[in-house]
Amino acid sequence: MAPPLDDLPLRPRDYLILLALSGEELHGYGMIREIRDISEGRVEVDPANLYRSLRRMTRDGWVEDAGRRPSPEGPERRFYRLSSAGRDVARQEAQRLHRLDAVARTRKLVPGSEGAP
Amino acid sequence: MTGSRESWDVRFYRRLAGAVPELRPCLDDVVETYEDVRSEALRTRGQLGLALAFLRVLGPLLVAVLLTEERRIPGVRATAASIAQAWWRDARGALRSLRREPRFGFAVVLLVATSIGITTTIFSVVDAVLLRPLPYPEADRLVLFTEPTHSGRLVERWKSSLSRFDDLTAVWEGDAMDLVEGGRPQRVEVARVEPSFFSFFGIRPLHGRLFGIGDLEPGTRTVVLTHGFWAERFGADPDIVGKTVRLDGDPWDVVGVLEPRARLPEIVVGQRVDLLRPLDPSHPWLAQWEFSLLQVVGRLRDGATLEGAQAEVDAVAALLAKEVQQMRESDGSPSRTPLAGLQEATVESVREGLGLLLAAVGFMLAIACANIANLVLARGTEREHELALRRALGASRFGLLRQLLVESVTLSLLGGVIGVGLARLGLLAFDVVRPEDLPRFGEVSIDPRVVVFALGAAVVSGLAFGLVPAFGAAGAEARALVVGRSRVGTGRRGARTRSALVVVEVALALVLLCGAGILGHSLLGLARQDPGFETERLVRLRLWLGELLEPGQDSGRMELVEEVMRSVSSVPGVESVGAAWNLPFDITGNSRCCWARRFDATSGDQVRVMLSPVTPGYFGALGIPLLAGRTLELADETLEPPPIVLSRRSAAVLFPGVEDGELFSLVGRNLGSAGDPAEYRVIGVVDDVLDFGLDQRPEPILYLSYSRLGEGLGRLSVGVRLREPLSADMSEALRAAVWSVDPEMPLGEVLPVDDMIWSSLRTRRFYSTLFGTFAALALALAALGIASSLLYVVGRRRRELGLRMALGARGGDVVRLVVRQALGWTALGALLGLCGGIALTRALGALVHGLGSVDPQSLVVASVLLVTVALAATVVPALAAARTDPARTLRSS
Repeated sequence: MAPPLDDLPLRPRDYLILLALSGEELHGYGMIREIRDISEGRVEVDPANLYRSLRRMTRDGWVEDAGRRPSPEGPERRFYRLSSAGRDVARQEAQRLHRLDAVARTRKLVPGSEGAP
Repeated sequence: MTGSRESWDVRFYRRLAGAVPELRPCLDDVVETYEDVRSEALRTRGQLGLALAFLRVLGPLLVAVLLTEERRIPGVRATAASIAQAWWRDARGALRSLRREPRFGFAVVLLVATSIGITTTIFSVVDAVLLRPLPYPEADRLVLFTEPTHSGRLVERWKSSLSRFDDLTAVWEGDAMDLVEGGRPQRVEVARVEPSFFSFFGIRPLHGRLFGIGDLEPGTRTVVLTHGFWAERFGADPDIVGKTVRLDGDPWDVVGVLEPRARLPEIVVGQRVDLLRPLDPSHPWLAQWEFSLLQVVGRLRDGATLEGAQAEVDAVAALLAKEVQQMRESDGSPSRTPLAGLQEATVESVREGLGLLLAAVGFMLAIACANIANLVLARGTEREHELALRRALGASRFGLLRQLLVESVTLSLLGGVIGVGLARLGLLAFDVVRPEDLPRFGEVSIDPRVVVFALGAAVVSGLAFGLVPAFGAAGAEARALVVGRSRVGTGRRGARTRSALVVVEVALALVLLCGAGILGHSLLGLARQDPGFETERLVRLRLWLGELLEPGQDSGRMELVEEVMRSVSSVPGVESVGAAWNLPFDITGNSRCCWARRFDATSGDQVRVMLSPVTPGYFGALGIPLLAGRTLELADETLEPPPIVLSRRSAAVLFPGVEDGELFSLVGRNLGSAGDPAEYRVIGVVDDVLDFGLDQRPEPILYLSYSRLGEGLGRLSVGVRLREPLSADMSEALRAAVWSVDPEMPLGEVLPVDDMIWSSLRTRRFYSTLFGTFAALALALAALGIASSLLYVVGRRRRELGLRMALGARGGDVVRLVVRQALGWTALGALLGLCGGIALTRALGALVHGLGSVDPQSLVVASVLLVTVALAATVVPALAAARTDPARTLRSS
């Protein structure tokens, strides 16, 4: 099911959360670490804002509660997974960014593309 | 896991989450995730990391809780807009109260503004210096090869054999050249860098270009200017690129200027750099194992760990130790090079000091909050009637709470905004007193992140000083209405809260006082330390002779030195003159540059001793006591084997077991190593000198005639003992004496050695001064707290006091009552504060020198000071109490 277009562009934090969840199911701390990794240490989400986004995206059906189980750190935690709708939204956002990236390349803003300094 | 050992912050958030059943499942997850995040922060960044993790969650969580509470208020369904409206109404009410009760409002705003201003100043420094990553690409993968410098050969070997690094870059720092441009020669600081240096640190040119392979061609003389030097010396002339400048007598081409935001890595290039020149790998000094000249930074390969890289470097060292004698320690083990993250290495020296300053301002902020809480409490009691009335008219408990909190947060935010402005001034002041070697100070600014911190701190303070009284106030049920106004707020609970606040203030102030006392005490002890030579009327004159030369290369420098010495000693008013490569206190701190060599000790060990080339008059001019034998003379310059003088410490390591009384037995002994056991002959022993700082232990030093190394040495430090204290005329006369020999000789300022010693204590003075200032402010705040609380108590108990006096109590009795109250608070606070003070002594370990784990003197002095000030604070309230007029009191009741 295609989400309504007005969901795009996603808020950067939402997109990062969806990206983080696109791999395996994660708990809160797992998402924070994954987002830190994929943003090369530039984005550090705080727990309160993370769950604000998660609550909204759960309500919108993009993210699903995957139940509680022991986390890699030991104690039991609630895990989340991406729903097919969420995957769809993330894919559309990725395509949108990809189109922008293509424009940036033709304008020689991306190093490594043809004619870069 | 959860359990009884849960810490305060997790417990706090759990309780907060429990307060809002609607959000319960989600908030529980937030708190659990917070537990994971906090334990990581605590592990990687310590208490400071924990505090930041706590604050990051606090704001959003409080907003969520408050919004949910708002929605629960019965009546109209609350929307975001209506909630904002209600909050705005309360905020306006708070601002209106500023007009209605200006004294209260301004007191709050002033207290918040000052303490937030100071806290923000220190935070902006801590943030830029300690917390932010270095401004380089992939900064977290940069690694410093420590043990300060390495030979060119070793760096070559690393480059060819280390696989866990993407890249290594070497820097030859601490070099200087003479720039002669229009008249007086100027000494400029130069760093030699490899062409890869710039891309390594992501540094780009503003004008022109940076170095390439072509700049390494023999005979190429190219330089790049730093932005600051370009602006200062060449008036930011964009046409400078392509021009030549005269350095050390040769023409050099300026090929580029760095961009203004380029931040050179201070730990490898030094604090100040004017020019960069290419590091020529074919320099003869780099081809030798014994000259350690290069600083090296590496970038770890993606996925490589520091431990893995260390293992690889150790493996190379083990291999080298088999091949190369210079890469072995005295016991034959490989010379190890510890690796350290570049960021940690850069800020290591200031981490503890800055952390403590931040803690100190945090304490101050807490005292200010306690003070304001007391003011709010006193006022809250006045308002209890109004609040109780509202409650009786149907306002929810939460509604009242919100009103009080919004009011206090509004005032505190106002103070916070002013505080941000004060912090800008604070930074200017900080710049004046800061230690010169504070790393990364150029990156400090009041930027959005710091502003967010300041306003966050203001909100937290507002909540803190609003919450304590608010809980009391909202709890006072309509009962107050029934009982009547006069009895409101005399309840035990209000009094207990007020007392607790004052006790906390006193305790925190005493902790800071103890810290200041300890730092000051240790500074005094250091300043009284005997440096090992006579500093009175001793001044230093520094000359630069030119670039370092290879040993043995003839340059006529010795003749020049001799002429300069003759010329300076003939200046009227000069008592004696002696020179060395470095005078004591030329170089202070932990760096140990200079020549060092290994010798065979009589114990069979190889020991490392520093070589200090000195002129014949050195020991006499500096007044270094001779313990045995004689000192160096002019004739010694040609004797073979070269005569040398040992310091007491070097005698002890080279000839272990020789007692102080037998030092004369060393005279005539030979010194050397396996290849040449009689390389030097001992002619005397002198006492130790604290060359590298009053807080450093004396190094083993071997003194030899200046001419033995003299040809190669690029600089000379001349110690001149004057008959009178240094005057401006004398300063000029000394410089003129040098210029009469060589008019192009660059000269440093003439400095009294006492000043050099004083400035070597600058870092310690800085911490003592700042800590002292904060402690004084804290003490003043605590005194204010005591006085205002007593005044309040006196006002409240006026009826009782009047009654007592009517029944025969005298003024003195009433005064005693007030003083007893103050002493009770002070005693309890002092007890708590002393415990904190003792804990602090341990934390201060890194900053203090020569004190045991507890410093009883400082603790006693701090406590006495505290009690004195507390007593002084009782004067006004006591007088007010004594002036109680029994007749009037009886009439009014």
